[in-house]
Amino acid sequence: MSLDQSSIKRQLSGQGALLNVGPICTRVSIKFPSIREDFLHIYKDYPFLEGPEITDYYLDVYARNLYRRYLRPQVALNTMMNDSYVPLPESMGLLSVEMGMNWQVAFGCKTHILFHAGVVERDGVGLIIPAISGSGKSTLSAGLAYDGWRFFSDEFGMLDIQSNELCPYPRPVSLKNESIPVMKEWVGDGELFSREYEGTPKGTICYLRPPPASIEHMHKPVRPQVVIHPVFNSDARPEIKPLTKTMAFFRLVRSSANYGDIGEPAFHALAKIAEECISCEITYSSLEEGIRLVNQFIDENLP
Amino acid sequence: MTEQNLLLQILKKPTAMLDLDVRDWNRVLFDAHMLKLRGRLAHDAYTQGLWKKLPLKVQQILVSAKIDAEAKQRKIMWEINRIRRALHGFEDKVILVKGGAYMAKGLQCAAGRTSVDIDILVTKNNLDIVENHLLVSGYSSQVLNEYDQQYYREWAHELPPLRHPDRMIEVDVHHTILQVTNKFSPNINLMISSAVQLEDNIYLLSDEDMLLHSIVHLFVDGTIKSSLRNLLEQHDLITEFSVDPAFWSRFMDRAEQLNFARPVYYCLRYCRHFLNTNIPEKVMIRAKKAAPGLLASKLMDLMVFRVMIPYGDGQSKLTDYLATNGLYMRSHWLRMPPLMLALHLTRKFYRRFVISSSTAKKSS
Repeated sequence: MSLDQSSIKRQLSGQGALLNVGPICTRVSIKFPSIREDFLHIYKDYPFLEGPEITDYYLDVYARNLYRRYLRPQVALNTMMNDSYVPLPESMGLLSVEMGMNWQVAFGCKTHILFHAGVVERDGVGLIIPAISGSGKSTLSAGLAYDGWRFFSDEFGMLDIQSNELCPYPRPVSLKNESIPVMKEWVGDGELFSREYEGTPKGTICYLRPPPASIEHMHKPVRPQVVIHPVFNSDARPEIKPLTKTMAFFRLVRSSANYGDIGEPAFHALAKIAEECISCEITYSSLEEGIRLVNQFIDENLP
Repeated sequence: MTEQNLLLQILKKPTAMLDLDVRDWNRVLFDAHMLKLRGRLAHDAYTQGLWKKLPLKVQQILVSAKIDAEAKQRKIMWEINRIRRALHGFEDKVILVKGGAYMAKGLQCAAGRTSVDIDILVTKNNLDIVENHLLVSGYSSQVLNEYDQQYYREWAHELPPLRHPDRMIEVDVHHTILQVTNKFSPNINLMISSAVQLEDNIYLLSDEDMLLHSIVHLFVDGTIKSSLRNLLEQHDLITEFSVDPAFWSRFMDRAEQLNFARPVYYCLRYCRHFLNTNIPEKVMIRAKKAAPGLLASKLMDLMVFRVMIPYGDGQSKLTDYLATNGLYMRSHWLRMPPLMLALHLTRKFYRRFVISSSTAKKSS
């Protein structure tokens, strides 16, 4: 059951609204009206549950005192995970919300193998795009999502250990610096983007809503069939380098956040992906080229 | 009020999990998360055959907790292995204490436990040798502040924490179980000489001493706030050890010998109150002889009942605050003489004040 906007707003400012993304249910409460606006703009298409539901995480965005609420507004964050965050100014509040949710999943979720990766799907083909920050995985996953693919995530690939399937976790895409104008041009509709947050520790940040259909189908998993490691380099010649199964395995291990915690089942799951998927590394110098290489690799290699 | 806490009811009677609705579950899972007891709930649900009957979503949340606890225990056991290697050539006793010891001995209280550091106990004259072995093997000190370093070395019962840069586990090397200035600081040689060999030079405290250490840690050195996990640990140790009919008299004798009769009284009283621990009446009567005066008893009850599980709805913030700080001051009061305490707290307060105002400046 989903709620209307005004009840969501009321809950957000009080006990918290129950946001459901993929397998995860988070109770979010935000004590700053301006951050609530930003939050609801970017989470407009997401289901907020009427509850009661069993809740995975609690996220509380608040001011430490009246001084920090009204005079020099500053956002404090409680994820209930024994953490201490550097408080941000109110104008960057949405970053706190996103950071907090990332933290909770990254450290709390052990039911799924987490990859630091983008994931998309088309025609039943699950594509994992593992990469470190700055390699363009968010841009590439979002680019594909607005080019006919179904968006799963730009940050957390989630593999169910029982079923060996990828679960969608379609949170808003987090775009940084140069990739912001690129995506704005690619997507066209400016309404889908958040404000641009300038002067953050990572430069300028802007969030992008995933396509509504991706959110609507966020409970439909898919079998992984392709793994593509992107390397963005604006001066490079386009290139596709196939990976051996051994290399494919080790690079998956390296990109997984909770491989060591899950242990043996994770080893078997990754070995299975390395065995059954086609894997390569692509080097590309523009979003269009990256997407062309992805399609080319899949067309030429997927049986 | 405390009797109504659902988590407590479930810990005492795991089958009560089957009667919870969604709201109850949220309450229980929240408390269990804050008190670091989710791993324990998962363990209880498995071993009592309740797992398949739990709501799917609860299974999911508890699976994460279970995997997390298992991973942490694996890391602890591996770290023990690394410590043994680092201490190769050191012939004297290395005594595992607290979480690492419970795991190594396979005790019930280790079930689902999420320990993040390792504690070992060695005799004071071995301290430098052990520290050196660890430093040579790549461990490094986590305390860089000079006052803290000096404070540890002069007064504390342990070295400043060490950590190997490849592994994120903290290793605390103790030479006794309470700060040397603490009113209750025992003759540690008695405990060290009764330690029981586990393997090679790795030892564990005797059963009685193991329980006493846990008690002292909570009721002398601890602030008691949110300490249900520690009380449960004592409940488990008591339940497991007292299967041996001779345990109780050995234990009470030892408590009196080491001058721990008062903290033992608190442990037995609160174990019984919160967890219905099976303690013979005879033992209780003997323990009561060490109870504090009526007023102190009443005050201690008020504070402990209030803070052991602090997340209840509708509790007064003010009394929570008073109880929390009352117990904090108590633990410090026991820890060192008044003048030393005053100087120590002044320094700590000053440092916190300076640091918080300087970070506030940076981020505003």
